[in-house]
Amino acid sequence: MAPSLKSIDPEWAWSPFVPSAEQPWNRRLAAHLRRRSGFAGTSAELDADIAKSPSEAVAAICTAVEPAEFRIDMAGLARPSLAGGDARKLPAWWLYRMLATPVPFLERVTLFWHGHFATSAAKVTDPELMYRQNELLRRHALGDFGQLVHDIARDPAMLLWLDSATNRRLHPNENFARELMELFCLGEGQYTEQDIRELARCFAGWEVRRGNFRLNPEQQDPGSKSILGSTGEFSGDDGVDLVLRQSAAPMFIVQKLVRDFVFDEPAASPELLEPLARQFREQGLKTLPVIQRILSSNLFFSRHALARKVKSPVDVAVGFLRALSGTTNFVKLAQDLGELGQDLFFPPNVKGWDGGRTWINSSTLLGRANLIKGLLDSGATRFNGGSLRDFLTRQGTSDSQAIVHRLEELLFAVPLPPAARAQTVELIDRKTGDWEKHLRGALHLVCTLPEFQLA
Amino acid sequence: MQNRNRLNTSWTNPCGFCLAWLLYLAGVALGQEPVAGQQAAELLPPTAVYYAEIPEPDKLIGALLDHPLRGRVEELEVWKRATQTPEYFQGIVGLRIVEFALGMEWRKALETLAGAGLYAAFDPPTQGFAILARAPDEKQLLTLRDKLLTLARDDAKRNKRPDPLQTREYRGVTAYEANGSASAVIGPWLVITNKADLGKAIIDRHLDRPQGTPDAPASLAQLPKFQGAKNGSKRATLWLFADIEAARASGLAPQAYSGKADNIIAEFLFGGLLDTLKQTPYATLSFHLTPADARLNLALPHQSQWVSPAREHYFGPNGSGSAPQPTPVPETLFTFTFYRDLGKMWRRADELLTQKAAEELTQGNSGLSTLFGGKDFGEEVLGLLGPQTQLVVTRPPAEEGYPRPAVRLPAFALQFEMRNPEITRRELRRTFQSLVGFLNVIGAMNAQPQLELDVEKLTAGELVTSTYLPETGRDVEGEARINFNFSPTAAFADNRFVLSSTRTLARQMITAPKGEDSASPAGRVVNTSARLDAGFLKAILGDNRGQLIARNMLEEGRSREEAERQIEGLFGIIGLFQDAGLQVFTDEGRVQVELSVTAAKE
Repeated sequence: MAPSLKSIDPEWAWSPFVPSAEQPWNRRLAAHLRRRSGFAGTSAELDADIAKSPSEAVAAICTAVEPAEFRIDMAGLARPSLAGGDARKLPAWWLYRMLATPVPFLERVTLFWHGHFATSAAKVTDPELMYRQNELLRRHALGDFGQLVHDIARDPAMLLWLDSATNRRLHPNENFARELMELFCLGEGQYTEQDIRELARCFAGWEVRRGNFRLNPEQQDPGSKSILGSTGEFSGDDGVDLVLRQSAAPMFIVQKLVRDFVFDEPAASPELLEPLARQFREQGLKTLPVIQRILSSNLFFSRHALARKVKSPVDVAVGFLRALSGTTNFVKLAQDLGELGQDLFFPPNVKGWDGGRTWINSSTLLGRANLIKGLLDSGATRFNGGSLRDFLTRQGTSDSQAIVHRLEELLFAVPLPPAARAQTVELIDRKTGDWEKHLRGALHLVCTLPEFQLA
Repeated sequence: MQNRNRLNTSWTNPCGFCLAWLLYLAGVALGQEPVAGQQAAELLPPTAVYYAEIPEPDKLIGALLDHPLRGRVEELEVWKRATQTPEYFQGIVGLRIVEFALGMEWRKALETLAGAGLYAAFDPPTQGFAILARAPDEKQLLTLRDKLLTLARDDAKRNKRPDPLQTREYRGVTAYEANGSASAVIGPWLVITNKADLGKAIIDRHLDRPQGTPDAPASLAQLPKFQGAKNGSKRATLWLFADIEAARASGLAPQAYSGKADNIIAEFLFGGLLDTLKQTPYATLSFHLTPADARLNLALPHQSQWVSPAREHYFGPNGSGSAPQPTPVPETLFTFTFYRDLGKMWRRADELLTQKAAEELTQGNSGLSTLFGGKDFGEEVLGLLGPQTQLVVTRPPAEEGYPRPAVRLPAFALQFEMRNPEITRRELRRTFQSLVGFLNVIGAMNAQPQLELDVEKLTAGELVTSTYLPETGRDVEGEARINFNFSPTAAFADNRFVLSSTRTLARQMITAPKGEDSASPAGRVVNTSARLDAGFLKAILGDNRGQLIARNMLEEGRSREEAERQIEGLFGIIGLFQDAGLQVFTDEGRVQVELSVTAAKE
């Protein structure tokens, strides 16, 4: 049994997980890995994963490359959504991408950065800029965090979002400077108000013109600035580098990564995070190695991580569809997710979504059940292109016990309660009526359980 | 008399009134010689208010199944999928079993039962529906009837059910009753009805052949308005008669005969028919089907004095108002031409609309008044325009100096006639400029590009154009914003005022030769005319193929390949047609609405 979180040895925590007789590498753990790294895994993916070692399975997930044809196809799919000039069309496009991609891990991490560098189309309004930011996040999602911050600092959507469309030398806008330190790189308490004012001067002249970033030389501030203990004639890029060089930066980012990939609460201690922060710093703020280490670790496969996260609305819906090879009406799905509090491209504020327990209240719990019901009732929802009955039959699961076992394996982080299992079996075994309807009813039933909300 | 009493059944269930019923159950005639040459309407009581006939059902089936385009239909992906479903195969197997039992294929069976005509009617006094099928050969009808009876009874036996057929007698005619409906064969007629009284009335007319008078008709055929309807109609593939006078008197759907429209759009489109419906004695609906086209025609007797003064906007003074000919411009997708005095319609809306609709219009009126600089919309805006108006929609022409937008919307132009061009032109030009300014204010608030006003003088007239300025580095050729579908333009030429979504179309409208008068039959006044060109519809959809596929992927959750197949299927269906048209016209004391569809050439 793993020790309590407080007494965990950080070195053990981030060492590679090695299966044992007590904790064998099986489909349940593989499903956990797939849920956290890419919304959910299909049965075939779980089979492939357990044929490898855990580290090999994680490596395969982390090093998979999105085929160029797929990227081109998805860019082509985005164009019509952008052509109408309505940013409301973009969430459906992204949901489609999340589900269709052969590399869901990349989408999962892009979603993480979307929450981190939260920018809302409610204010930006131009869908083209939001799309470009989304592509930027995807391009750097697993790469160099420093480069990502540099590019975000010049991203037109971000500048519009933080009121920096025009940034005058005499009145530099402090919003971006503040959020760069507080929300993007360092966290609260790592800077002073004077640092904000001085850093803001670095970004004077950074503007947006006709949807593009522009450096306005007449408005730049060439004077000397004192930021975070350093003094010099810093430019905007120098300012970003100064922030990224702070020792708090790696710790701030790995703390958010652990919260996103391992457990919602309690907050991991600095001691526990130190090995990851050290690696992040030593490897030049490269994101992929740190996430790969997290996903391969003892802590990730321990009881501290299993079922210790509340699914976000996107995790609920995309996970549900991915696990069952499903497709649906993505326009409707995007609207429904917005009502459940996760409106893609429209985060609620600069802090993004709070996540964790805040996803759940009596209203959203009912809404989540209705979301699944809506998916199951929709004529556009198909499983591997057909009915749920055909999908399960093709998977070799045609009796009620096997079906419930399969659903539990794919969709649940914890075992089903015995009473719910019995009720589900009974529902599937009903002799009268349409079996497809019974199957969908049974699937809806299990998805209304509190256990379904855990990842 | 005894037989009369015995056929006193409760035929209450109207279900089973379909052609399948004919293949399941038939009746038999006993001991009576049929009266030759009777028409279906002679068998029906004069109280029947709805009557339908298909005089040659085999030709209708043949026109559909043996159509020259059948091969192309069968090549469609959507057809292939529909004919590969388990349900389709089950249906085919069931049909083959029935054909085997009958000893003939279903088309032959249908011809044997109803080869000389198929008729239906509803009689309100008895609340009875009746289907009358006329067989070309009585002996073959009886043979087929026997096989059907045997089939029904054998099926019941196999499924251990009691005999499904009960026998009733009336004046020597045997009727077979099942599921609340009954049928009988009288001479060449197979009669099916859900009400005993209606069945008796039909048998009585068959046997007695009563002679009525115009004042006291003994059958529907002797009803003067039915005769009027018949005489005024050409032989059709399907023909329906509705006794509107009786329907009005019955009190059913009173709003249809109130003369008031529910909203201004309904008044604009169909207002002229509302006054006619208040007075007209009957309506007919004819459907004509040939290999080349299909036409659906609704005709109502009409007199110009029935039209109230408030509704003169629709047909014009003494019913003489005619729609203009559409202006011929390249790649025309759709034209809609009409005669409507819009100013007059707007001003007298209180008399034309229901109270609720009139109140809503009043609210909208104040908003429009604000938009048009405080002018009264009905009096000072619409009132400037004459009644001959047309809408022309085309495939979007290339717009000089514009990048090609990712979504290509059809271009459209409205052409009005100005009552007093010298005064009206200045008013409309100024109003247009104000509107462009208003659009720029709204656009600026939403980060949209701005419109630039300009004036272009041509020999034919003058254009007041507004164009979006392409943004450097922003709009890529072929991927420009949707805005670049528009260059709103007002054009003035002689007494014509054109309001167009694009500058090029406005130019084409005022420089095009005048539309040539089509060869309308003498006496016909075309009030409204619309035409849709399937070829250009397909071309415009083809221009937006990527959009359609993307929409299908996102809304239906399909893969690109699946979505492409779906869209190709849509194109295939459109490709079956050449054009579709709609006309409202008055002709020979009737107002007619005619919808037509022309098949694509092979």
